[in-house]
Amino acid sequence: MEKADHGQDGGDRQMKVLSFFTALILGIFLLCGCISSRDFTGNMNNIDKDKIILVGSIELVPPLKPGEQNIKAALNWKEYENTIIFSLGEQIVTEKNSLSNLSQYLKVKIGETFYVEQKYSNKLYISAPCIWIETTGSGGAKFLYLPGPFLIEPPSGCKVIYIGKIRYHRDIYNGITKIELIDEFDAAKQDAEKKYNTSIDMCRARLKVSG
Amino acid sequence: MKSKIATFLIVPSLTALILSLCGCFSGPYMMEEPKNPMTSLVFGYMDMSEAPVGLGWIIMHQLQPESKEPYYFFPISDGMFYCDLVEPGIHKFEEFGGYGYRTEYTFNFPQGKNELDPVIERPGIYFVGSYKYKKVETGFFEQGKFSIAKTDWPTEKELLERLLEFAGDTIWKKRIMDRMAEIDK
Repeated sequence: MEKADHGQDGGDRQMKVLSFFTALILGIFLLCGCISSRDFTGNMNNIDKDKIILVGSIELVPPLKPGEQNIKAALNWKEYENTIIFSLGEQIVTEKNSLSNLSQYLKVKIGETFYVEQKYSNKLYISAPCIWIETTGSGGAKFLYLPGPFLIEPPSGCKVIYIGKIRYHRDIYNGITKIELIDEFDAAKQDAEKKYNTSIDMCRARLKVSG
Repeated sequence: MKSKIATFLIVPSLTALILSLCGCFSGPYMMEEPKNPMTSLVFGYMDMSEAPVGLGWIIMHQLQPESKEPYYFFPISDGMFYCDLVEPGIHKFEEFGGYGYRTEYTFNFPQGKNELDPVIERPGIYFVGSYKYKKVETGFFEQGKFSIAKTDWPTEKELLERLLEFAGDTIWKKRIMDRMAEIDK
């Protein structure tokens, strides 16, 4: 790969072609089998036998500024706009996120309450939380990595479980300076009942810092 | 020249951002008489002897105050990086890298504040330190890892001596010499 500033003939065109293919590849990566993180749409009082619904939210303080995320080179960038990506499952994921493994993760909008259907296990982990902050000229990605993992121990027999709000505080360098685990159970229950237009038997499983 | 560099580095991604270039790169970058009395000279060194490529670029981000041109693309001379156009504010070195045979290597500085990130309150000469890229052994199929360690060499004075070559007869020459005299005290 020649440096563009050496002034080779056609350097600009080569770079534009490279840029186009970079964007195309990013798009293909991200369209392949992404886990939908859309809120549960079924009946809150008739959840599958082996499933539970986890209710919670993740906040970033201060929030992302307009223009702080530069990911528009990806075809489906909107899916990742103002979004936290994390793994939810029985295993702790320690692998650093990259464009090739984003499909394994859940995606939730920052600050918004999520209602995620999950297979029951007595131990579940939220791990590898991050925000995709930028696509790079070389076809890579930069992430704002957030501390984790967190352990969830769903009470047996409970189908709708409030796990709380994770609030990450950051400094100007994107260093994470503080993590708050906030319990807003009553408000979350009220919001869920309003959203699903039914009374919900919700219980609480406080997040624990794990590892 | 500026547009070519920008196309190469950032068009796929940082379309909204513009790099602040410390001059062009067809030859060694010569410092200019400051057009803005508030600008500072920031410099340092990165030993890339354990890296797959030599130092080809290093980019610093002006975090505060917000700027329409928040990125500084530092000229490089044999591992030394320097820029005489840095405005006061809080800055963070974001990435560095180099060009191999048909491969561009980019290394991100760790998230959060790092030792070399300058906070510039008044114009002057700021040495951010000498560092070494250190390869971290990984498995054959694992992605390469690295760490950055501060080193004692080259010293600030040694780098200032090298910077004189690029200061020409500008005010920077006098400021560099004044700084060298200050170190000798």
